[in-house]
Amino acid sequence: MYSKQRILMSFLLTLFLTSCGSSNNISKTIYPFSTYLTMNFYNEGDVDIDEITNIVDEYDKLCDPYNSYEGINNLYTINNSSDFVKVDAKLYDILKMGIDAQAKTNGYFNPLIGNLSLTWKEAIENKTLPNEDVISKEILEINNSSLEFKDDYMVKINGDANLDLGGITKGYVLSILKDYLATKNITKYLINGGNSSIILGNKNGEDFKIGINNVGAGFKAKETSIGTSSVDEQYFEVDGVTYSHIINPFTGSAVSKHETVVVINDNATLMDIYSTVFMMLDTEEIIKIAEKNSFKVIVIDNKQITYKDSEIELYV
Amino acid sequence: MFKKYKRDIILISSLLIISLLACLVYFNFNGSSTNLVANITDSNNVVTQIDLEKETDTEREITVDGLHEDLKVGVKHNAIRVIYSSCPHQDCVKMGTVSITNKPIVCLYNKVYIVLISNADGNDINI
Amino acid sequence: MRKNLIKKISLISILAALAIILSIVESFIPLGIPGVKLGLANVVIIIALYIFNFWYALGIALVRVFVSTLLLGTIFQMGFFMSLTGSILSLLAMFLLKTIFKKLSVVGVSTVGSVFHVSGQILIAILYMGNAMVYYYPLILVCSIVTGVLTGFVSLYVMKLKVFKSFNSTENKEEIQK
Repeated sequence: MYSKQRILMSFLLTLFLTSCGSSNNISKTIYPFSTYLTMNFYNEGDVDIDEITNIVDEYDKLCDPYNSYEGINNLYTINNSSDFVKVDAKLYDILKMGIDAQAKTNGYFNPLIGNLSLTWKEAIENKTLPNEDVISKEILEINNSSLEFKDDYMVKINGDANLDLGGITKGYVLSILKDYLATKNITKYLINGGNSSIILGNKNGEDFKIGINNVGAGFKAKETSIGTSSVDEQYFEVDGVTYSHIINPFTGSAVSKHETVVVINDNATLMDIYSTVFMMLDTEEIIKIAEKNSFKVIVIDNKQITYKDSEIELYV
Repeated sequence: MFKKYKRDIILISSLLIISLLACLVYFNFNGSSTNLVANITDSNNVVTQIDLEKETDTEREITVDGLHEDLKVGVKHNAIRVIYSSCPHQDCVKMGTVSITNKPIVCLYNKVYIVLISNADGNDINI
Repeated sequence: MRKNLIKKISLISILAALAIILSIVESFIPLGIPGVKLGLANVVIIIALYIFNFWYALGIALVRVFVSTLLLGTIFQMGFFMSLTGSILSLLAMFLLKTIFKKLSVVGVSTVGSVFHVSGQILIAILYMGNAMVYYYPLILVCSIVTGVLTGFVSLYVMKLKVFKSFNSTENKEEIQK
């Protein structure tokens, strides 16, 4: 008689076991571009995470200005060569886009900012201001350098400046991923590159909730991309002045005009570029450029939102 | 011989099944590993909240007030562990790195516990 | 009669000492889950409950908790309160179960006692430290059932030893003979 009870119990147990796992959320974090990249997929049955990881990995190697990889001509190769280097079409494309961005942003985005970036990176690590003369020399180098392109994917740096594509790489790669996911009909995702470049699909049809640190508010968004720049990412303070990793290529200054800038638009590459550039511009300038390009912007100064596009609705 | 133990077998089997079911519930549901926030409660009942999503891949050490001696806790991107604790059994240190919600690290001796929560009902990301 | 009394007192004292020693020994065996111990001393408590009565068992249990924590230096700390609550609850549960369900063997009673013991401990842990320990409860529960069964079998065979023979009341004798 109690064996029947036992059978019932085991049946319930198996029923219980099989009913688990109805929500299929996949998440993976990898570490390219000296930061992290977290991919979240919501109820997307067929995602080839390995393929995506490989795509990102390839760009990581190509855009690395500090390391060389056997058999690959990357940023490091170009930086350390005084002659033309033949590169992969992918890298060629990013470099071309970098030059376009330089023109478009009137020089506030400059791909040849490598040495200046490095100087300030070391300054942040050691928490000491760099030598004024070094900065001046590096600005001079930038002004006297240029990037030259030749047929058949050949690139050369004229002058002593070095390439650093930090302000465009994450956005560019996310754009690539965005197109890739579209071709595979994957729509329910969120990919976060170092918290500064984000592409959004939707969360099971719904909006994502994006919180903004320091401000205690957030906004909802889906099917777009977001670029943020914040001094909070890497910085140090001397005499009450905050120096961050965002460098003005004209003045060599690491002091930004704002604490955080958030830019929202479908083009992930542009968002990455402009979120950095806007940190160096006055709010009026930002508004003008944003209107012209249909970006939605949020500007934060001293932990307060000083400007936000009217279309963005905030929640607390 | 088993007939004598009939009632015991029923009793023990029922207890076992109930607790195994409870185990399944705890181990199967509620296992988010993204966008984690660590709530560290120290011996003074002060809760320190650390956004593990914003941490880098390099481990950063923090000190937590313990009842007998301070603990050393290591935080990195969506992961946390107890590096050092003065407790006799070292259960908390033996737990290793935790990067999933609802798997708390408890140090009874020093009255410290670390619980990871997902920002799910909060924000999907924080910028 | 007198010889019997002396034998009784000696035996109870030895049991109490044994409970204390086992308690201290098992505190050195870590199991990876906070607050879980093997429950070796519970064998003694069960034997006291069956051979003698509830009150002697309670006495031994209290002596064990107080003296072992005193010797280990953890008296009046959280572990002490956990042990105390667990021991008392487990003893009460075992006594009630044994009295009401006379047909239940030592193994069943011991398992229930074990379950109540850890439940009491977890209760205090939650009151003291918040809900973090709730996560461990199901796992600890399963472990307690396993150790409870083992303790039960050990108790069963130990009680058959000659040294306890003269103290078996007819009621207990039947159960122990099973």
